[in-house]
Amino acid sequence: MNISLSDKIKKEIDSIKSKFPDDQNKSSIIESLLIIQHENNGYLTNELIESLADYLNVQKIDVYEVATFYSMFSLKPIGKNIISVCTNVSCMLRNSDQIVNYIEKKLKVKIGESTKDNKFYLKDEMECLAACNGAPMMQVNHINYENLTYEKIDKILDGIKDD
Amino acid sequence: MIKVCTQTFGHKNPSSIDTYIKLGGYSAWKKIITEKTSKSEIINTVKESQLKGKGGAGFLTGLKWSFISPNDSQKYLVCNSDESEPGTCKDRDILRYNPHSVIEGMLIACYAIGASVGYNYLRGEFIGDQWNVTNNAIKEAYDQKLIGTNILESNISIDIIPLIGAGAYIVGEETAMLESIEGKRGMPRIKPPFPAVQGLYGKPTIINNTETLSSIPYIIKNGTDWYKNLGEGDSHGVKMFCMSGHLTKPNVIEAPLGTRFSKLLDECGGVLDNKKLKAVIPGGSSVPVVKGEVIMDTPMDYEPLMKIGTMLGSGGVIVMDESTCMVSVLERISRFYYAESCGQCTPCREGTGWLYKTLVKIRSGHGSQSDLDLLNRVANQIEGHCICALGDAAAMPVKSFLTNFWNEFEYFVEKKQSMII
Amino acid sequence: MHIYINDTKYEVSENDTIIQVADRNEIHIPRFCYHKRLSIVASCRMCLVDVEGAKYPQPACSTLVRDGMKVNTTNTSASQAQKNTMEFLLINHPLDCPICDQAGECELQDVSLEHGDYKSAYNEIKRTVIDKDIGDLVSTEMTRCIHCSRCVRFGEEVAGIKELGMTGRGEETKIETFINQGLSSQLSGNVIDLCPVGALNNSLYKYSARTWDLKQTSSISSNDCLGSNIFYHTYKDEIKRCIPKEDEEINLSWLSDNDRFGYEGIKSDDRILHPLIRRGDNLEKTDFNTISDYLIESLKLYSKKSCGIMSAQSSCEEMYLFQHLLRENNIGKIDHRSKECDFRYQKNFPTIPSFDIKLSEIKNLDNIIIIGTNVSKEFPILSIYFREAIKNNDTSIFSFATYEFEENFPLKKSHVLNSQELADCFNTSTTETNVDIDKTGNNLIILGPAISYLSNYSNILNNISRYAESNNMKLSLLGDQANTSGAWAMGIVPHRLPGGVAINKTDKSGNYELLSDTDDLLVIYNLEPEYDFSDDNKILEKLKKSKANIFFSSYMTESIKKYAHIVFPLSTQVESSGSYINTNKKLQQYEKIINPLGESKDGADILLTICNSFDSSLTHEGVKKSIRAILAKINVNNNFVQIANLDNVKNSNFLEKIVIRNPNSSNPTLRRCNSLLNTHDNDDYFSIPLDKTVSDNDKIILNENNNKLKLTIKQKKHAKPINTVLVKIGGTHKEKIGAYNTEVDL
Ligand SMILES: Cc1cc2nc3c(=O)[nH]c(=O)nc-3n(C[C@H](O)[C@H](O)[C@H](O)COP(=O)(O)O)c2cc1C
Ligand code: SF4
Ligand code: FES
Repeated sequence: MNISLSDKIKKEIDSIKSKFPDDQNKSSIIESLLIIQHENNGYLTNELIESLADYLNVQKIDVYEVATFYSMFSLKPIGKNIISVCTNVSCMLRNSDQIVNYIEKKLKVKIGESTKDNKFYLKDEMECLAACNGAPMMQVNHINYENLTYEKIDKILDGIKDD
Repeated sequence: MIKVCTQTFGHKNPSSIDTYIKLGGYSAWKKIITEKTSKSEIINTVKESQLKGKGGAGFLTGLKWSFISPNDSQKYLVCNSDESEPGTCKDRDILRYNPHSVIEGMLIACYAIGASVGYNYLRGEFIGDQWNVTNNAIKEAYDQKLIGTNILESNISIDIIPLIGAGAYIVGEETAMLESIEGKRGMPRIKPPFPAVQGLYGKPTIINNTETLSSIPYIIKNGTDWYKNLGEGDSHGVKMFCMSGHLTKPNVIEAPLGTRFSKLLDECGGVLDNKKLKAVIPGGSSVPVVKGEVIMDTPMDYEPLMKIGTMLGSGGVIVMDESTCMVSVLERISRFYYAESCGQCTPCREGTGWLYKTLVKIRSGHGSQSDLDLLNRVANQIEGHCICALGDAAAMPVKSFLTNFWNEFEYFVEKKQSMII
Repeated sequence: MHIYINDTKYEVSENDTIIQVADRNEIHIPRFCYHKRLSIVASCRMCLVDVEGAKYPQPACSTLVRDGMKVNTTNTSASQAQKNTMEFLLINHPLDCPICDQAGECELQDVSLEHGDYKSAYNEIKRTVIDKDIGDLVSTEMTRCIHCSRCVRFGEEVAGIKELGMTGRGEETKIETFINQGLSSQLSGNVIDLCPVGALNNSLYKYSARTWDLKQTSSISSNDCLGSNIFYHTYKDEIKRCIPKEDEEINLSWLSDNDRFGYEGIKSDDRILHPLIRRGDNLEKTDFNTISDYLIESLKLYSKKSCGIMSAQSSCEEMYLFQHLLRENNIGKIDHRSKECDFRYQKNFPTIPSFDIKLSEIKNLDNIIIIGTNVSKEFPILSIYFREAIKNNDTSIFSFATYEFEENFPLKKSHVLNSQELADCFNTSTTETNVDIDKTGNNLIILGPAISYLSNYSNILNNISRYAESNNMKLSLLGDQANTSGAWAMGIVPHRLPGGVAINKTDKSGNYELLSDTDDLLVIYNLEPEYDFSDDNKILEKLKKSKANIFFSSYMTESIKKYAHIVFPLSTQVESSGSYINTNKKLQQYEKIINPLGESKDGADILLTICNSFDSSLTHEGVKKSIRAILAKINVNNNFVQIANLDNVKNSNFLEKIVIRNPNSSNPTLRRCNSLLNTHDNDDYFSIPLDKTVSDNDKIILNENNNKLKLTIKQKKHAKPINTVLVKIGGTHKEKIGAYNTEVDL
């Protein structure tokens, strides 16, 4: 059954809708999914997709198509804190692969997995995160950390509180 | 060094409207709305400045604007802040440190093409810093009545609206971006019709890169000659070069178009650890790689780079030293285009995977000589056969890596290991 | 303007694409994503051709012609490009042709034989896709999908409900529904035809034959009055599947699910396979002679008090012979309107009701008012034209109905009204507030069949006719069966002979009761008392009382078992030949597709044999000729039915009951198609107004016409229409539902 979206989310969606012409509700799908996902511990469920489709009065498959296309949407539960290490060319040239290895070992996960305590999710990031001059770099919860060293990584990850 | 799009960089509170205005910001916009400058005059100014789109294709911005129909129908402007081409990291700096130049550029562009709305589409991964700064800046500009309804009592109304993506390189392609704004999967459209005729929601639309739009206020303020003369030698204007890879000081440098590569290299403190320069990809990972010695003296501009078989692209200059295994680099690049294909065109959907899987095979020591020919053949079968240029972007690196470093690939398939130890 | 294709010059017009020119001139260009009735995406890259001056081959489907353009579809550049695309497509396509239903008609297989290399250089692991369940009609094998997106575009652009979508990205791109959702569109089967490979398959057909063994015969749909053109594919006297036959005036390239899958019911266990005669409590096998004699005997015996009711799904030939047989035997009470109860309009009704305008003209209308039909469910093909109108002309469509439903096209406004409100809102003498349209436009009113079941049908018809005429609008009447227009034209009404010739004998007041309880003989032809009559209580009562009940039927029902004296085993439409007159007054012939099951027989044959016993001059050929002659003489200008001095039969305060028949069960064969009933939303429910309550939760007792009616179906409540109880039901339901439209007590 449909779970309904919270009033807070609905209000946010309404303000997203106001960015677009009146008859273009589909346009609000992407940004709405982002806030819904954020509210739901970083992932989307079929129920949430359905609720958004109903709220925007668009077809469910339209929302689902979008949710499966963009890489920042997750359709399965993931760890609380998302770590994306850029491994694209510029970062690769500056040893990003070792950075990934280090984090894998440190958190005892493989890339693409979440830690047992569900605290971290080490995303298999395909994209270049557009900080090539700061390589190697990673994003933790969408904040950039550049010119990484192992010490820096320890400090950043250890600094993330349990709650 | 010259500063155009980077004017506010290094100032205190670079992104604030006060800083921007203190440096002369919004004067071009205010002048236009008070004098009600004619649209064609603005378009001509931009045309004559020879400003070329900074998103990758290098199309003349003024010319693009002139394609928009002059009638009164609804029109849109879209600023392409999707910056995702590997090796490119300039728009994020503009968005972080000089957001008002983008806003002012968008306002002027909207005015010139007759659009009442300008959307700035930021890639999803910018949802941290850049998204917040952009939203703040737009709010500041609204507060000062520089955007919105009846701007500064001029009877002109233009809205600038920030949008955010959710992770998809392909959305940087302009028609895919329109699809994405319409709330769909970012799948490029067939052209024609071009966006200037039928774009967002079917309405005439102009799409420009962030850096392109950020340059506009400065060109309007200082004039075409000023901008043209910023270039070196035969070149006109400036470009932001994203210097990354094996450099002592990787950096984003705004420099005159036509600046020699060697000079940019010097600016970055030379090759890391004083190693020998091996190869350079000068325009983001999709353009052909060239050998270091070939590019060293080349002026960094569209035509000279074409002459040496590559392109300026987005200005993402990826520098590789002698310790680089070209097979690994190509494998990485191929993985990217394989992962980012939108999936609609057969050659791209199936071919990018074929390229990547073949490269994985080679690099894991299971490749053969015939796989190298296969790579070339598959790349040729993709190139030019797709709706958008992602197919080409996947093919060009393969072809250029093989051409320039054939012996290294041959070595790998023969010896089952990299030539570089 | 002209272009050259393969060095031959062809005339073209400005907006032509290369592929359109090639198709017009029968130059074959392979394609997967292109379909002439869908938008162009140019994504499969199969149609690449060489265009002089272009660096790379260009997609023929999306490339517009230029004057003097030189195209080559077969030179090395073109054929190499096509071969390359094939190679890419086959990378991830399973090579399971031997077990694939599409084999033999697979566009991929064809093209691959023609253009591909036999051996692939691709040695990596192929992609496999896990299938989702999308219902009983369409089965999937998505690993075979080549992502041409025709099915997705069909849903969006033609069917109007997007159910299949493209998900994932890049190599992981998939075609699927959201979760395991069955397709619900009544046009869903079309994706089977559209799919160029064996990814979307016909469930009924699956694994049952090989395409090259099939025999193709054309036919006409028997499920709605549009008369879609179809092909049946048979193997060893068995229907394997049904596909659309292109018809630019009716179904274009499409078919409704009812038409495509509707033959499933003919294999029902209910089929009557022998002539039957009553012996005590039982019906026993007998021969045709015995029951024919019985019928002739009964006709003579009870000629004064007899009644012949025939389904309008019957062919014109059956109709002509049926009325001939009865009228020759002095039986005048002949009718096809078994679900109606208000006949006061009949004298003024057009000789042949019709849709009045060509379907292809719908796209030029400015406003359409639809009264009493859920078009996307009852007339799916028509809904395609409506969507086109909205796209083409921004047509405004308004709906008036007695219950709430969804359409697959946007409605400008929809009104849910009870029968009295319906009559009132088109009353030209009062101020109408409900219909707010620009009257100067090119406007059409469409009256759906369900309206005719209402007890104030004449009032509604009268008011709407006046409204339409005074506002210069056209009026279309949609029949409830495939041959409703034929039934009127063939004289299956008490007051008219074939061709609309009036019979003066019938009651002048217009008071006419189909089911009066004085009849001694009942001849019921292809109608099932439980499901096809305006009041099941009434017909069952009558059957109980009458002296002889003669049935012509394909299927056995409880009431036939109980009350029939004799039963003629009718073959179904696919086992017979004949003709229908569709809603555009077009006479369309259909042939026998398979042999009748058991001893069942084409109704026209049975009737002719009986007629020949007293009139040996009648022949099938003669009947056909008469039908054509009758039709040629009919001349109807409009559908307006204006009736003088009509009383209002309703008072607005009583609670009325309205029965809604599920569109997937409108005729005996359809109501036995389980896949259709399972796939589509065939919810049975009972709905009362919000302000009413019923005590018991799973049972409802209704009082109507001194009968108590007990219903044990799902209960719902509704805000509109007021003072109305709705009963929606379909299939071969077990419970009695009483009158279609009458006053009730809860
Ligand atoms: C696959 C692909 C990705 C692209 N990504 C970007 C991008 O991230 N940012 C951008 O500005 N342009 C990108 N482009 C180029 C745009 O399509 C378009 O040419 C550009 O935004 C136009 O702006 P300009 O004329 O100001 O350069 C991309 C093109 C392709 C084919
Ligand atoms: S080339 Fe690739 S990314 Fe571009 S439209 Fe085609 S499938 Fe999509
Ligand atoms: S038919 Fe032309 S690209 Fe598919």
